[in-house]
Amino acid sequence: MDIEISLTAVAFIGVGLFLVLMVLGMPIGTAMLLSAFIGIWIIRGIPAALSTTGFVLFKTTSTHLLSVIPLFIWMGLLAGAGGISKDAFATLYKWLGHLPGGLAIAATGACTAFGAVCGSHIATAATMCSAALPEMRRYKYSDTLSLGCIASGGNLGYLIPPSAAFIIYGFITETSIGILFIAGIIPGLLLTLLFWIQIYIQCRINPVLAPQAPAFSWKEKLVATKGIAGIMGVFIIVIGGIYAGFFTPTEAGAVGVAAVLLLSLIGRKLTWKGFINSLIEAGKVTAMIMLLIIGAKLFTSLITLTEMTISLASLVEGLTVNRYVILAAILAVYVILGFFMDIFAILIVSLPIVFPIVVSQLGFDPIQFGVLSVLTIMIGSISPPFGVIVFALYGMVKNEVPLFTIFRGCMPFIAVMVICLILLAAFPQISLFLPDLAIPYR
Amino acid sequence: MITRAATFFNRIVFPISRVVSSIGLFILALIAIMVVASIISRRLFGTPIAGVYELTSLGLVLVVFLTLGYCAASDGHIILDIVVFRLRKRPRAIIGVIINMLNTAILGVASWQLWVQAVRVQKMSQTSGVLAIPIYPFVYVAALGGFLITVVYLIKVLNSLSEAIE
Repeated sequence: MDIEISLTAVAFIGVGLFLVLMVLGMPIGTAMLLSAFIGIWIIRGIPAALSTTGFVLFKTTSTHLLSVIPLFIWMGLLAGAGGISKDAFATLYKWLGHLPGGLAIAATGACTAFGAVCGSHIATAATMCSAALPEMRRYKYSDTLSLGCIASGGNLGYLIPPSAAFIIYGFITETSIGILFIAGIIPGLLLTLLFWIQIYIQCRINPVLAPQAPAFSWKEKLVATKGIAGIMGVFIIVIGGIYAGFFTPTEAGAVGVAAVLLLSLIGRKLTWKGFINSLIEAGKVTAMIMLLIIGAKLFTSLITLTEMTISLASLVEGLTVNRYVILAAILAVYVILGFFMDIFAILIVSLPIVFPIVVSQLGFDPIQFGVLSVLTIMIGSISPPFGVIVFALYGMVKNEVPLFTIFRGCMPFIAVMVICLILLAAFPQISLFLPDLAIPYR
Repeated sequence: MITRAATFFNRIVFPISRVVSSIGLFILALIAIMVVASIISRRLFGTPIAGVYELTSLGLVLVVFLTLGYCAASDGHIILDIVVFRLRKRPRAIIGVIINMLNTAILGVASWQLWVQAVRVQKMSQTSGVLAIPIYPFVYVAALGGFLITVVYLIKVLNSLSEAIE
């Protein structure tokens, strides 16, 4: 192009075009591809834009690290098809069901447990919806509480390793995935505990929400415990194997698939049809995420060319506010994005721009920021008006419960998640304790 | 006329994309088996299987590009559905025509460039590091997978067009 046009202007054109295309309903991946292509075209001319596209496409999809994404996704879907998540709920139900709000507590706990083998929130919410909702309805739990806890609990898997969100965060920011995995454990368990306390208090104050379910004998409890043993086994094999150095985090996906498959075969709950369906579904989710990643990689090339992060960084440098204010502003934007976008899409779109500012400039720990951003996006995904999980759940209950009821049910959980977020931001040790312990001089 | 053409092509391309995707999924299963086998062999017998790293990387290319088309055909790619679904049918269909034409264009360009890349890689006879597998067939398959998803969006243009005309 002959006309002189500033790099910043091109950056704005690129980002603006992407937003417009996305709002008009273009798939987010192709919208990023197209706007990045046009941006590179303006700066470097069409031959460079063409060859960069071809190169980035092949380079990205042949990245060894990314092979873990389809495998972890398949592992989770396979665990759902093999009935492992239902077993987990059955166990916790026998142990905790008689407490005030006990079934909701059990469902949240089962979500956490299932998160240890599954990386997808929609899948977790869906399996819990079929496992726990009928039981909660049988004991006349209010739909507000039941669906609120399933929607919020469905999210927990993103903090509990193996988490696809952390894999993508690690891939884009070149942070160690092994460390991110271990960093999510305490925050994930902390949030589960906070959820439990909140449900307990809620049901104590307002017993109508959750009529008491029967207690089980100790013998029954102990017998039921084997239901959760499977998940624990897989978790120990996969996460333990990574830290013992038996295999790399990238190889862990394949190990997880094998472990879940073995377990489901022993439990004799996995049908051939369930196996094939889990594979087909894994293929669809993989294609969806990979198109996003391909688009983001080309978009990152554009962002680098426009030197946008450098100008943004100098802009932030000029601000004289406390770094926590800037962090809060960024996280607030994440919550808003989380209303209507998938967690992967948000991480992929925002990190190339945000990460250098938060980490290099404001001096936050990359691991801590990973935990914070994932939790924040989780809040967005259950908040009105566009929370994606809530919409998915609304579809699963066949529209017989008003959307508003589910959102109202999520409200106390959102409050608790915000408290957890503040705790995690104020005390980096919560996220960094285990990583520091595992790898002292990281 | 357009409606009939759209239905006709839908009927052909949807099954094709499903078969192609199954091949990709088969490769994914092979990758899982291969990785587990290599860990076992390395840990128990002290002999790693050579070239698993590069086979996984190249296999991932196939998995991704072979599954892209079916995902698009069954509307699996993430879109932000907060504005367009509120519109009435005709404006929605018109936007659909434009968006799907843009999808077709950018994916067409991308697949073409993958093909160009494949030709280049073939000329330079690039091979993988350990097993010396030629790289170019994988790039050709990627390009073909790219063409498939391009065709899927081309048919979606027809679909939206027939809705707009109705």
